Amino acid sequence: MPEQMETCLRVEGLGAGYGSLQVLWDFDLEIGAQESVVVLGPNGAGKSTLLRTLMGLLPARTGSISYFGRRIEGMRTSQRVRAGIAYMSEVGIFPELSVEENLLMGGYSLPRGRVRRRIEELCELFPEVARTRRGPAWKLSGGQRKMVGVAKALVAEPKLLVLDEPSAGLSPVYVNSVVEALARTMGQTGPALLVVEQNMKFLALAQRVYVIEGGRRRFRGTVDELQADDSLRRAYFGLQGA
Amino acid sequence: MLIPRTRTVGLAALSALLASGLAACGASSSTTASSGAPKNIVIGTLYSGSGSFANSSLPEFQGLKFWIKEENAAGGVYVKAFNKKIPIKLVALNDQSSTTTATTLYEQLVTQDNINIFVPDFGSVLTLPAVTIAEEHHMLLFDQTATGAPLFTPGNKYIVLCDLPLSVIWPDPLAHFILAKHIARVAIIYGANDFDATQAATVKSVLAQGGITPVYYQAVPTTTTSYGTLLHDIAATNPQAVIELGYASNDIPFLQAVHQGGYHFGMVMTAFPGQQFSLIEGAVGKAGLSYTYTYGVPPYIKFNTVSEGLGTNAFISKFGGGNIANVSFENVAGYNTGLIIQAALAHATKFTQLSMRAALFGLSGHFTTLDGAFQLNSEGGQVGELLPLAQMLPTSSGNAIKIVYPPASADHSAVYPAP
Amino acid sequence: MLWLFALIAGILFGLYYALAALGLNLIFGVMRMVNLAHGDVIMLGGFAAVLLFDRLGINPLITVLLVIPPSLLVGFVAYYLLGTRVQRSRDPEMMSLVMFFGVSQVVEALAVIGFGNNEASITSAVFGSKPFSIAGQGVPGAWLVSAGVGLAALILLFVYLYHTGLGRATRAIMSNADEARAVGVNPDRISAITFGIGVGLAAIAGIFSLFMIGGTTPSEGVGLTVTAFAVIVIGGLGSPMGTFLGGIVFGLALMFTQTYAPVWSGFAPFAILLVIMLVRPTGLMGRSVRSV
Repeated sequence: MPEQMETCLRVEGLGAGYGSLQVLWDFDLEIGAQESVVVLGPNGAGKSTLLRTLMGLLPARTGSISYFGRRIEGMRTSQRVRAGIAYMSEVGIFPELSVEENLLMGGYSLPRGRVRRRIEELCELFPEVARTRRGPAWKLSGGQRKMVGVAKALVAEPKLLVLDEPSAGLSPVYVNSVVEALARTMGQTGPALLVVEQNMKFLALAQRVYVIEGGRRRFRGTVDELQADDSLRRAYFGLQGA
Repeated sequence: MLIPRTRTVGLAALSALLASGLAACGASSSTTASSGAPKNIVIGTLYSGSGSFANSSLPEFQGLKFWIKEENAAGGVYVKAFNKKIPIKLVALNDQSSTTTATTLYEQLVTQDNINIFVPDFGSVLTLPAVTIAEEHHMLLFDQTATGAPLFTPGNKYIVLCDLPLSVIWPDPLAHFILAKHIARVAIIYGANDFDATQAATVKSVLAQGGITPVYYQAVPTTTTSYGTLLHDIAATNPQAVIELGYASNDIPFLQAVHQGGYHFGMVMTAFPGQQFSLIEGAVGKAGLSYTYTYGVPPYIKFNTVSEGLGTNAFISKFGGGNIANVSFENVAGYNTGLIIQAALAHATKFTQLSMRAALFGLSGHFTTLDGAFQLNSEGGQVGELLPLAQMLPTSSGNAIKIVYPPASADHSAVYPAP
Repeated sequence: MLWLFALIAGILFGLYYALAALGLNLIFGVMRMVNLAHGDVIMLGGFAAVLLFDRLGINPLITVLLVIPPSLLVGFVAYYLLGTRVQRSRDPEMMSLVMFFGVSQVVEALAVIGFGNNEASITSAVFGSKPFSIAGQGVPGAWLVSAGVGLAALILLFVYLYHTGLGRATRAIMSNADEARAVGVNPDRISAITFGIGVGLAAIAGIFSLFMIGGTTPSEGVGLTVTAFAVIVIGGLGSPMGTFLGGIVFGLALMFTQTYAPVWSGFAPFAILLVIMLVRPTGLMGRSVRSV
């Protein structure tokens, strides 16, 4: 994280799990305001658990989470959302609601007038969303779902956008367009971005990378530093032939 | 002391006694060593403190308790086998209208509570589990109000029906009334259960003897509570008389539907307004019940010359404070069960279950209570206490139940067709 | 024209059955809890109407409005007292069965103490004593009123769910509870409101059970829960609007069998339930078309 940048999120010693199963161990993470960070890891590494714990959907067993200097690990999810953290789960949308209603739900904790304005703005930014706006969300294709999911998360004008595997279930073409759309949105004034992924293409967005394996942090650094690490390069880039 | 062990020992002792031909009435705890006479006569029974049978079971239970109180106040019930009066002890358990609970509790009464007299809960549903248990344990079942023919089989010596005739003969006066009035178009709708189906079959066969075939004859599930469409279809057959044979929980929605749909038939008959008058009048209203026919039961049919216990008027005054509205059929039935037990004990030469049965068969046909003439068929079924036909006739203070047929017991003439 | 009467009666009863099942399905849809005390709430609604009519002469249609505030309150309290515990358990569906079975037993026992075991009903013809003519068929006024209230409740629920913010949040929880929490919805608040609405709908259905199924008695709760459950399974679990269809199918099945084969009338609606389960296990309006 560049030194002059304000810290958006600082996670220290975070542990979490389900019942007797501990999934996440002693995890540290830092994101600057307007920084984009990608957490790479294979299936079952604890990526989703990390995000669910950040959002308060799962209680933190150990450690602390600070958001712009405020401790939030004891807060309810709704409080974290109101504080400006937006989250897109792997599902990402409400299939039974219309696309429009999904966007409205994205702005659930905002005043109604602002939500309407924000939806219009986002529809200009995401033509794909504007096209499907009136229809039911369950009819969307996988790629369209992700676009709507991202737009929905952005309705809340977040300071931190948290995305759980936006590439899951997408064809490579769609992965590219999701990455492009995100790049477009983030720009200079966009929110901080935290993406957990297996797909290398998202590294195009990343200023810094974390690697998580077996619930523990394996690596922290820039994309270049990641490529310089032989074993990691083989593990992540080798397989994809990138 | 370990209960299972005691129970096993008790059962073993019982089997030993049975094997030696000494099917004793009493069990050891209530029997004193010196005279052989028990300290108490223990009556074991169940009642439904809640659930669908509570509104029949509780008043019946009150009637039985009233009899016990009367007897104990006079020093106990006379037991001929010991030639003395012995106080009555009651063991009563709550089955909450559940047959499974009832089955367990019947077992408990018979195997653990050392009862001498076995009285089941109200009605066929809750009596049925007691029938097999009584037969297995060689206890005479003083069946109060379970009247379905399948309960009585030639092989089973351990049941007598105390307070109502077998349901198959209930509608006999009804069917003959229809013939006497020359009512040609008759609709019959009945519950798909033994109790109602046997009644319907009886009406049908008596009518057939008079050359009448019902214009509508259909069974409906016992759980039926919506009769609007059924009544519409019945009305389409243009009947003069509509007979609905069900339980009280059928009669209420049926009568409501007649009222609600604005139907008018010359004659409407349902089974339970006589037995559960205040319940049904409360639920369907006075106007909804006026001119309806029903089975006439005590205390509306009166027996004041009796050979055992209180006559109808004396019972109304002593139990109901002189007001017939405080006395239901179930009260009479429960009290009458007590009278039958009393007669059995007073005439049995030995204090055994089969001796009590023999005493009751000896009394059959020579014995009258406020419930009518006591008469048993060879299987222990009641055939004496006939149910005449009654009609609800409006008076200034509500409906009065009047016996209208057969002429011998009628206290009023029927209003047919209904205005 | 027996079939025409059966058709009209089937639709009118169908709307009543839909009303009787609506609350159960709404609660299941939002909370994945099976409220086995649903039928007992219907029973209590019936007793409320009888008591208010007998003691104070209040028309049952007024009672419809009067039962709403206490129902919402009861729903709130019940949700925070019991529902939250059920939701936190490992298997909420199973836990809800156990918990609300207990509630059902307690309510029934208290009702016996409070009202006695007897069947209670409103005996005077509050909705007219003469049948109304529909397509030449004479139909009791009480049926029309019951069906009308059922239809109104369905429409109001539809408006609430599809055209208000709270309703949208409710549907969001039905669609994906975690996702709803992640956009800031407080599921407890929505669930408590939904529980209140579900209880209210049941109580309203109870008022009309007096006219449609001939009265109310403390022991009728279990049977009513079974009927309501059949209706929502036919229509689609978790789909309040499917309940409308489920109710109509149930009503038509009952009335047509009563007309043409009365002895099967208790069995036919459940036979249809089985067939639907085999052919379309999600119910008529199951998940795949739920958002229509």
